[in-house]
Amino acid sequence: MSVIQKCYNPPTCTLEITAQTSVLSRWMRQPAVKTLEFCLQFDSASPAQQQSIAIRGNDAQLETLSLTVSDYIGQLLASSHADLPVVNPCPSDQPETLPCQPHAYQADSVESVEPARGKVQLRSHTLLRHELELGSLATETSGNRIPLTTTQLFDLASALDDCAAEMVQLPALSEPTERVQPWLQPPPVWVRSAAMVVLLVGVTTAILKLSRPRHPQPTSTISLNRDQAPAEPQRDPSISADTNTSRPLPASPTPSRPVVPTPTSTPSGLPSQSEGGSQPTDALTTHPAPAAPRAHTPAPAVPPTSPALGRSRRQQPQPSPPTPAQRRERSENLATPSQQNRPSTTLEERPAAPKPAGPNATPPAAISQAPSTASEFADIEGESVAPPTETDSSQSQGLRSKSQPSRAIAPQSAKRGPLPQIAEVQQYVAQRWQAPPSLNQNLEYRLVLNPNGSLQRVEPLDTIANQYLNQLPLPSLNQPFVSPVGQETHSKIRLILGPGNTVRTESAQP
Amino acid sequence: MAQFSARLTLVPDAQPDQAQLDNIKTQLDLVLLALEALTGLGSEAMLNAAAELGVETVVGDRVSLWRLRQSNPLRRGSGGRKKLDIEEARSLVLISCHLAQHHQNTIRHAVVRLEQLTAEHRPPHHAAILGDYIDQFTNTYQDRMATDTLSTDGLADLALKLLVDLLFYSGKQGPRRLWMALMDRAKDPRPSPLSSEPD
Repeated sequence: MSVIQKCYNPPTCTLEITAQTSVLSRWMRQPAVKTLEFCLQFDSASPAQQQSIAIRGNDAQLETLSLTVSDYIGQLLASSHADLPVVNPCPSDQPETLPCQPHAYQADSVESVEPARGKVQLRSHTLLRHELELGSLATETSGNRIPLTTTQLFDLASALDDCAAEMVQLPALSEPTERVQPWLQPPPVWVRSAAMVVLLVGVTTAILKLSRPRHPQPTSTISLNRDQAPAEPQRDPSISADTNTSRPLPASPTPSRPVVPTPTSTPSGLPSQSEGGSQPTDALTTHPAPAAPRAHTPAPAVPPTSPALGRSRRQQPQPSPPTPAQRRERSENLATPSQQNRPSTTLEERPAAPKPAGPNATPPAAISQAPSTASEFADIEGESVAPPTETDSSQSQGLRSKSQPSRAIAPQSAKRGPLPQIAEVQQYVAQRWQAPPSLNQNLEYRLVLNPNGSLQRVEPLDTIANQYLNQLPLPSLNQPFVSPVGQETHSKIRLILGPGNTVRTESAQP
Repeated sequence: MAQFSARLTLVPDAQPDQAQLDNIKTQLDLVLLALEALTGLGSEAMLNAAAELGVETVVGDRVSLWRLRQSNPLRRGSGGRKKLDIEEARSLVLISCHLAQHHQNTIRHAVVRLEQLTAEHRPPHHAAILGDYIDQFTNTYQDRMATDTLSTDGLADLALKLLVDLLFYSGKQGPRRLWMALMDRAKDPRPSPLSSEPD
């Protein structure tokens, strides 16, 4: 964008244009300009006028002036010689007080452009004497009116015509408020607020959708629900009927269970890894109600008409994570009178589960594969697990692969129990510890064991314990001490020695 | 500005009726008459202008030019017989403005002299160019026009009004201005001032 300056210099006036050319000029024959400013200077037409008059304005004012002059000349040319005499019979030096009012012409758009600052208009007194009323263009030096002769009027019109012919003025979009297009105005506050609300809802939904698959899924229920999600509306009545017949189906499962990770995660029907893997039956019985509205509910695996389901649901409140023995026992309990002598009846009944799920459920052929898969799974586990609704062998493969880590978690959680080394340390120290007679309080130490069971370091936990550090009946560092700890890199055991040769050990794990 | 540019076109808005055409024919003839009186040009210059403007098919010879000018209902003899269509009116507009532009200096000089004399409260004929012009215009008008309703002063005023008009017709926008003036005159149903002027 460049600035162009044009000067039109007829004999009696000078029109100077300063404008910025638009890029649209490349596609136009004439330069397209915007942000135009003009300076119009009237030279003295007669010796009486010694001082030239200059007026300045913008593009809108120039357009208004052009329209005014053009219309006025049109009216002048259309008039008859009788309408405008060459010589005014009234005194020529007092045009304002003439009884014969001068003809006035003004552009129609003047009012809309500058409504408050007056109008640009032309008046005629005779055929040869005209008067330009500047209106908004008036300055202190120019005054409000400029007398023009016919030749001055012609020169002014020529300059304006030349200017209009040489450049195309682009419409000003940000000039007066009335001319601004509505769509260019900033949106109202309520539109922005609504947009923010929509944006917030959209972002929240997106975050929820993105974060949902990251929840730990029950290994046996993920694929199930993907296959049988359309059957959920039909499953709900059966569940509710089941609830009516076999009371009580807790709305929020097992609040008293110590294994439940968090209260918030439980209602979502997303059991922990250990639950899903090691307690498939629990996964079936614990989460039907809260999981029913969710896509990954394990409910499809449950035959709604199965009495075993009701019984298993009644067993929902589990006081503690079941041990393998408990699982076996529960599996036996699941066997109803109609399913006696069939330890895996729940598994074999599972193939019937998709049937009430609805016509869109998994094809029967796929369902028929489930028993073998389920029994195979049950044989592997040796307990009543709940993968039987797996309708695809590949899915059961995935199920087994998914259940592996959950089974691996169980010994890991066992590690978190009391270390056998604690008892070994207690036994070792108790056999050797002779409390000094002066000892009248407990001495507390923290023993850090290497993975191989040797002693890595001993940390006295108070100053008095530090005093008796050398009297501790402990082997040297890194010498065989207790049985190897295992994978734990450094096990910490708290050793408490009392006055009466009392020795107490406990885990000092964080 | 776009609206302003759109008005530069010479395309007429609507077809004028016969009364309007009569007024247009009179005005066109008078403009050419004023040019003749001021500059002394004749039919040869008009035909040359027609050739330069590419309207020789409409105004190709003296006869056609004469017939067109004879369409003025104020003319003696066969005035008003010849119909003037839009294309012929357009051709006369272009020729008149073309000649006015060629003689713009003369026209301007006459107008400036008129302004000076008027400012000095002196009669126009004190300037030679204006005196000759008024005399020539009056004589030619009285020779060619049938109606003799205008006084000498009235003819002088008409000559001076046409002189001022010629100044604006000599500009770049002259053809548009002359055409618009013809349209405006045609829309005005008032009788021609030439005939309404008392003796």
